[in-house]
Amino acid sequence: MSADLTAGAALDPRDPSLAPTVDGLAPQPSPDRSGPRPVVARASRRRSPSLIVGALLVGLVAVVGVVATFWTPYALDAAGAGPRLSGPSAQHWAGTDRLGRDLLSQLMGGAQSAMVVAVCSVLVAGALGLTLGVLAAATTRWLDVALVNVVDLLIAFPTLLLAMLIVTVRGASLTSAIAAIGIAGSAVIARVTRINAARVLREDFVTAATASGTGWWGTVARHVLPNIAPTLLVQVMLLAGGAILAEASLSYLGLGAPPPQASWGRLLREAQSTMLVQPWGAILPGVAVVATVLGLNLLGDGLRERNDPNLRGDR
Amino acid sequence: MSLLEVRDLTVRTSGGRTLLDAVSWSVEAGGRLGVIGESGSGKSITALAVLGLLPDGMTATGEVLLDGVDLLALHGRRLDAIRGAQVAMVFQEPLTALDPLMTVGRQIAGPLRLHRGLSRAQAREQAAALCRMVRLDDAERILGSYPWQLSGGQRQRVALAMALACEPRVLLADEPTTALDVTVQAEVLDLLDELVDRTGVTLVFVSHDLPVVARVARDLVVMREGRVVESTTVARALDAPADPYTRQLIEAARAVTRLPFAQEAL
Repeated sequence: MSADLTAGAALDPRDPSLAPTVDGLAPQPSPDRSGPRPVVARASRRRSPSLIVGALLVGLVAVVGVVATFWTPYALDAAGAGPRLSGPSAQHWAGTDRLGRDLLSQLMGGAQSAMVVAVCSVLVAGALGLTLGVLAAATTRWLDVALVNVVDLLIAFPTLLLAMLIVTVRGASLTSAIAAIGIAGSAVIARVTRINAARVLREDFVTAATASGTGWWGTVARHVLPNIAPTLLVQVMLLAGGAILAEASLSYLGLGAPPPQASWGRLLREAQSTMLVQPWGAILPGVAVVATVLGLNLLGDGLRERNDPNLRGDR
Repeated sequence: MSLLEVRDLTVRTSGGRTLLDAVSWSVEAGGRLGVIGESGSGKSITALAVLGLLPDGMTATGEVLLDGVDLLALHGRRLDAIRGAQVAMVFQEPLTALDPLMTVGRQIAGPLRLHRGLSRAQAREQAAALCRMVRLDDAERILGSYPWQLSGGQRQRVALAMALACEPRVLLADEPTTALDVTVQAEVLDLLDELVDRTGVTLVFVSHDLPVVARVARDLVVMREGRVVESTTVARALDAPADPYTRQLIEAARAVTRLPFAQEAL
């Protein structure tokens, strides 16, 4: 109730310059700012725990991934860098695998692969999905219906199956994985974009922009994209988590990037047969996947909490 | 010759319903036309149709002549070149007519950069001047604000500044004061009155509020159920309304508000 009251009051603030001065009471120097606030303004005020934890986890993996690009304790393909299947030690902090490769180096390399896959497939999905979504929202009905059906089909189509198809055609590589995950993810982005863009396109300020001579592309760039960006950002975080999970699954099935490109999924598969001898080989990549995906989901949830109009108390 | 002439403007929905039925009116250069009618009379649809802003599924036939050029026949870039530059519009609800995520300064500068090709700095300077023109003091603060940081009256002044930025020949005002409370409404009306005098812009003022229309308009078009029931002047309508509906409107307005008689109005 109280939220409603403040929102209502702020919709109708008096112009300070017009407010009558009663009993020497000076007009308020600034308009009432306690009312409804759009996304940007709230952003800097509320920091939910999930946002902080998510950012920390993702930040950690990102830093490790960047470091791994330039330096790892041992070369990623250095078989026999230490004894086989040893546990954690001073030389090998995470132990070694059955070929004697350093697990920590492999894990770091895995972080790099995960980050590359997450970023690149989100870029692919974003470019494809935004284009399809905005087109569907803005064009004639039959094209909208056609695009929606394509998107629904794509969402229903298993990502793994799509990946297998692409791998069969192009061979197993990081690029194939990115293409498959990106195309699958573009369907989700397209759906979210379409719904939100259609909503924004009905807003008065879009009509006002058109009335002042802004062309269609100008309106999309100036008004539609900035207004759907907060929602899309949440979706992108969730998609990035999904991408890392998908890459791990592909590698686990042997459809991911071949060595020397490291991958958490392949580490899991290789450690599967030796789990009883050296459990760290399976536990650590598992933890890495879970922590990263969890971090991205928390980040997405945190952003959603910050942006959700239902939690903003207006409209 | 009239500057803006609407001739047999008919608007239908895709379902076949007729929203406007052969609406015709015209306004001379420098004229002030009030379009009045109850909700659903089609007065706002008329304003939207003039600039080709009808929602999807509505089609307009007839002619909207700006200096003899039929706006209904224009599309794409040629229509965009007219919108905002030749014919500008102010909307009813200034909160939703301004983009919540863009500073007021950028929004006022938008049409200037678009139609005049001004640089960012030039447009900013011009926007500050426009702020002063619509009596927004403290222009720098206003330009850096977001719409929700301003009051309703300030927002409508911003919308006016935006509409008048490129010195249009015609200003379409669609119930620009309806969403404001009475004191602010009076201020905005006075400002509009003054700006129309000063810039010489031709005004088409759409409203359901007869006293408000009587205050700013000279000519009057009364609409009901998508048709024009009477075309007259404000003075004549107040003195001797010809149509029974117009008479009813005036009597109703006299009964509840401060509608002046003709000699007081102008």
